[in-house]
Amino acid sequence: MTRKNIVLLSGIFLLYLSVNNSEGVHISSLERLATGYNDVTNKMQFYNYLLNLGTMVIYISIIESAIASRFRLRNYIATRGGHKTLINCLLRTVIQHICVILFIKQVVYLFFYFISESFSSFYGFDMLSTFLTLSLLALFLILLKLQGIKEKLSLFSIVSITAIAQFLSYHYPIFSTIVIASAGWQEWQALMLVCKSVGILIMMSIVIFLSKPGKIMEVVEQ
Amino acid sequence: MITLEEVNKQLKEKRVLQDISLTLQKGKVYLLRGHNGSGKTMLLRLLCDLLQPTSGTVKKPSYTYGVMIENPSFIEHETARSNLKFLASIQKKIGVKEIDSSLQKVNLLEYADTKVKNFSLGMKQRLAFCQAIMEDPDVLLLDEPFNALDDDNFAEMVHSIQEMKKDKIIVIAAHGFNLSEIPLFDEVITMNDGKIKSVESI
Repeated sequence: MTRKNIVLLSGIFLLYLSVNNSEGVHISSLERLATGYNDVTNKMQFYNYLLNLGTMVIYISIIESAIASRFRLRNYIATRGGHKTLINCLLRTVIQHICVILFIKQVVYLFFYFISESFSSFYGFDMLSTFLTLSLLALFLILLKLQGIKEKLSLFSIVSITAIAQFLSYHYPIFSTIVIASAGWQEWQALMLVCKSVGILIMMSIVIFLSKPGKIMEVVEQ
Repeated sequence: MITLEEVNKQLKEKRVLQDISLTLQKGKVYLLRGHNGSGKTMLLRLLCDLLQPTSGTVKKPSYTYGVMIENPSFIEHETARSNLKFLASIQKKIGVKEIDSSLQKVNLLEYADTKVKNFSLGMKQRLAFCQAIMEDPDVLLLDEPFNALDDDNFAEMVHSIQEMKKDKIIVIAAHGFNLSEIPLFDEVITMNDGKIKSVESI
């Protein structure tokens, strides 16, 4: 994770604090940042949506650059331990970077807690959902890499999918599967977590299948 | 020994390797030469299992490989030493001491803690050579290893390869036809359009 990304992430949280000042700093601010939705007015708030998208772009770019930097070493890794080792390396680096993102979120939650002296039930769901959603998106990124899709194009695809899914999720909760949280998350939380887990299992199976020699890795080797 | 029998490789509609039959023996350095697109790199990828043949057989024991294929690629924002440490952690055969001694061999020890993004192309090339040799592999496959090297580093790399050749199969792919004049190679394999045109002993 680069220093530039940490600065950007901090910038988004600070910006969020500043635009929410009229309502007072509260732990629920983080919920609104993650959903892009104002549950008081029951409407999507455009600046919430944009800030949410901003944080997602940073999360995804952190993971994408981690995958890309390991993937650049693919010939050296695969000849040392085979294609499965390459996939293991990619998964390990993804999990490491997701854990760093979760740690930053943890710090922000603590910061909000000390200011507002209250705690949100959103915390548990947010942590679990962030881990599962980012894992799902990371597996999709790995899949694109294995198909030889260029870094910028895969980043653009994922960000576009996330932006559209976040918007649609306000009306169709099924789209919440590929975003961290959406409106009415309390109602759908168990189902969403199950859907995300199933999505991860499916993606994982495809990635393992395609990483076998003679499968889609050949596209990358061309 | 590595033996290839009637090996063919097809990628989409194109046959990139055609009827390749070849025997590579330990203790020899092979120069694989040919124009761009003649199939040299594909053959190297096939030798180290990065690709599987469409037909034909590749017979070989379970060798370890040191490869340097295409442009040297590393994690740019990390140091040379941490890149090598990460690669060494896969097989866990060597430690920092061996990594440093390999860096010394390619004259990069003083830059061990420099980030790779600050390296010149020649330095990256030497670092790629370093990662290929550091675990003392059985087979060394080098694709255009002399690119971007100055005369001193070129001579040092040739010297290192000569020193290592005793118990290894070394294949060097290059399109520079005058390379065969260097007293390093035992056999010259010439490729054209995915086929082996000739194999000459020197």
